[in-house]
Amino acid sequence: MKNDETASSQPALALLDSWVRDYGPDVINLAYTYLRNYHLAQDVSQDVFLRAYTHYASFRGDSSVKTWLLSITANRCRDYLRSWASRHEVMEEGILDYEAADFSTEHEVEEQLQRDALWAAVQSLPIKYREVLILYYQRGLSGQEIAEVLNTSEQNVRTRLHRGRQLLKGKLEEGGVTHDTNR
Amino acid sequence: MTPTDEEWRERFKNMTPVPFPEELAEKIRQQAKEQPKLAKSRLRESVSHRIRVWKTTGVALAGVAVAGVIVASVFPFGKGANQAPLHAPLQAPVQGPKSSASSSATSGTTTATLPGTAQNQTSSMAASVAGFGLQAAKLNIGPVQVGSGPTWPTNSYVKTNLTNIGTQPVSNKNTFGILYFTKPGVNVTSWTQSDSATFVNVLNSPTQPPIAPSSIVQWSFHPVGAPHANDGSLTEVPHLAFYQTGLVNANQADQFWMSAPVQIQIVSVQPTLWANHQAQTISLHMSVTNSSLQSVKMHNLWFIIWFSSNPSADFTQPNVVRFLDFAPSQQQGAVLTPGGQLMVNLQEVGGANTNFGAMYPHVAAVLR
Repeated sequence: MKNDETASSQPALALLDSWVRDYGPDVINLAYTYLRNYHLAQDVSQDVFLRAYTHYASFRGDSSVKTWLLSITANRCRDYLRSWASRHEVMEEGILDYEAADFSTEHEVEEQLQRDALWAAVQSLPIKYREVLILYYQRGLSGQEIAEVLNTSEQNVRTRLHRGRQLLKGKLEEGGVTHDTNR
Repeated sequence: MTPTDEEWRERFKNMTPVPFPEELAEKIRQQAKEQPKLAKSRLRESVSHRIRVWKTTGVALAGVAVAGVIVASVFPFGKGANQAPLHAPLQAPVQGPKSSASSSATSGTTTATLPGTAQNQTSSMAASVAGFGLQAAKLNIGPVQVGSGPTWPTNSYVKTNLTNIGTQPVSNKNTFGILYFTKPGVNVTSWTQSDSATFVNVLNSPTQPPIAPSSIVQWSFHPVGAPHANDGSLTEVPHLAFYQTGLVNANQADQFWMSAPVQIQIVSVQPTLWANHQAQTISLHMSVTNSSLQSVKMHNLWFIIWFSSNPSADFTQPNVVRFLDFAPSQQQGAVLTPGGQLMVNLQEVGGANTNFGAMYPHVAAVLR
């Protein structure tokens, strides 16, 4: 992969297409892991690919495109969760109701996801555990790749995976889960 | 019994996947295709403005231009987000008509024509802007701290040292800044994610000489309206960024402010001089329409408002009056469904000497 190709060229557009096709599911699943909202996950996914596209020249190729994209995703989601917008999400929930008619497919997906016991259990864990669990078990990244994505050590990833598994097992055995309100 | 690694993997394999819809892929593709338009543009050459008729009512704003007190270095954030420039461009003391503008745009940027000069003319220029690419100024910014100054309450100033690390003098002609605030412990990568933000100048006063290469200057600003305690002291962490004037290709940009997928139509612009003649409030009435296929949350929008004598001047140019703002608090929770529209009123505070009625208003919406 060339690093000096500008993002405004046709080859770059074709490359973007391939990224979206190959890594779109990875990006949106990780985004949903953080945001617990399908609509927001789509927004962030869009932002991630457009950012990657516009900053393609800065991609040095010292990590895989996949880990690069997932790293952008993790950062964008964290930024969002720290943002003013996130803290005012409650205010918006009532308004989202009237959107339902226009986004029935989206709501169906959201409902399916919410009905999934494993998702519910994962989403009830603190972020530092759910991010590694999803990246490792669902997206199939290695410990080293996860360390790159999350900008941490591989040892830290292993520790979090171990603790995350324990917590997840406990949640699944409990049956019912309640979300961590601190995300 | 504890599941094995393989069992965990199997369980996760069977969990409901979060689908990546084809519509989203298509939307990304379409937005990416628009990027080259931006890449080719310096705003002066091709930033999109649709110029529409500006209807004038002919009501004079008597006394605006003769206000003798300059609101030097103290400009409100308004709702925590807007700001008049340190020194608004001085206008000839002519009568400024009370104005209303009718304009429309296909992107987040809109411009209205000069009142009284282009009535009944309608013209349009290029189409869409996907965002604004900016290059960082050649300045090293020292620790940005809250401190005290000569006039205002203790700890109500933001202070730092600026070092010119480039080879050219730095002044308000080639540099502008953004001061923004976050809660303690919160790290953001851009002002767009902050609680409040305002444009600032790089020089403390118009009489300050440009910052020569390798020289260091003290920078100080008193942001009225930024989050503060009852005693006036600032309560959030200040951050400062300076950019070079002019827009650049997205690939050359140090920061890219993504345009929001909305159309903005300025309905009216009404400047009102304060009773004490120290400043004026500019009421800007506009419609915001979601031009995308997905819902747009109002709280995700920042509005960049600028007034210029040149109709094609972008907000980075040295002689424009610029503000940052977001929708009023009662509209922050609103969500625009595709095609949905909301009327928004913004109130900015500008220098008393600026004849806003004689300048071209522009509004662009960028995403948080």
